Amino acid sequence: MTELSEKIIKEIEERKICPTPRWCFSVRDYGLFALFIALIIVGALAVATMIFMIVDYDWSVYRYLNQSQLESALLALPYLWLIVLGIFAYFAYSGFRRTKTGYRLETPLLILISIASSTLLGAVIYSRGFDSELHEFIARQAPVYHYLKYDREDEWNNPDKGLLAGQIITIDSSNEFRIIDFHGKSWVVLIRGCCLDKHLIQENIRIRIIGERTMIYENGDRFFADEIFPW
Amino acid sequence: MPMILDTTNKSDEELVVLALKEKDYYRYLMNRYEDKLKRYIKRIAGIGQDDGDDIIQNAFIKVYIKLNDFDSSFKFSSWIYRITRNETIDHLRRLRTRPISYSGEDNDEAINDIRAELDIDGDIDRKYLKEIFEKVISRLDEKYREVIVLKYFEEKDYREISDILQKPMGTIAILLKRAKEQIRKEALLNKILTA
Repeated sequence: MTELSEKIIKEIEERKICPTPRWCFSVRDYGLFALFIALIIVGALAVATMIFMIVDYDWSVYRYLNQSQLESALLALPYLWLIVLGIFAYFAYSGFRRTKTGYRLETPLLILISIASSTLLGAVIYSRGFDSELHEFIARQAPVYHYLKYDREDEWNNPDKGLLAGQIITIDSSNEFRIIDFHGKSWVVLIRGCCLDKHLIQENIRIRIIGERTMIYENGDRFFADEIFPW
Repeated sequence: MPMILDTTNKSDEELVVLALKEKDYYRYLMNRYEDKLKRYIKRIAGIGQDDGDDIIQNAFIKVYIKLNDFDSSFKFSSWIYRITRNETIDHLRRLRTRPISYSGEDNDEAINDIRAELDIDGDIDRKYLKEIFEKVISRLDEKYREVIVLKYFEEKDYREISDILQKPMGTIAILLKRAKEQIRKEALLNKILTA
């Protein structure tokens, strides 16, 4: 026996050093793996939101907002969620790196796996019914998000540019009805260039209108409707 | 009184299992690695014996504390080298210093291996060649020196180097290639190799 090994055994005895129980290492290993999965899921939610926002984006409005198609496409990109996906993919990558064999994978491959897992899972979440309610829920949980995301309601609340949207409250005649826009303002809508679609124009239905704002009247603003679409 | 057992036929992995039941078996593991690790520390950090002893002592205690973390799908030698390497880096960090220089002992086999890989003329004086290699290896960046030491002096394969340095095998191959390029360049400068 060498002097050093004797010295160390003596120190182990004196300091009453014991091997750390196996379960402590298992907790650490499973914890890291769970963290990796959790980060992939958060990344997947970001992807589901991105898909929702791109699909939800109203590609027909750019003509009325004096935007080019490029401007419109840039507006539609969910930057915040791209950043969120990037951050969580990075954390997932560095968490996985700390697992027992995580270092064996090449960095680009590991980053690719993190992003691809989030993207695939995000597509599944979206296809299984990720809807505007969940989107709104996220917006409520993170108030700053409201200022950063593309807002379809805001986009259609542009009467001076010929865009109006809201909920029908009464149908007054065959070519006139009232709506309340998303800011709570009441409007009288006069059908000008289109026919009243009885299936579409019903009370409590939400619609989008392309047309023109007219003079202001005492009993509410007026808007000429050239085209009407369901919300 | 320490027990004396014949453990020559026992593998490292078997000794780990035994050491977890009875700490006296841990002596045998330490005896197997003490000299190898001392040489390894000297080669990668070039520090004095006192510092080397401190490092190896701390490393052995850490290994004992972490015995349950040892995964038998790895080689025990890779695992203990990794812990020793990390302990060496921590020690240097505490001293706020960088590895001083490569400080290798005479290792004919390693020098021959490098000479063969670089296709260096066998007639060059061994002593001169050794001096040049020591100078060249000392000048290498730490990351390159580490892989050269592990590959040629510790005789580890790619998988083991990857497990010790916790880097993918592809990265190890790249580091080794670049390290050899640097050695080749220096060898050309020192005229022990012709272009």
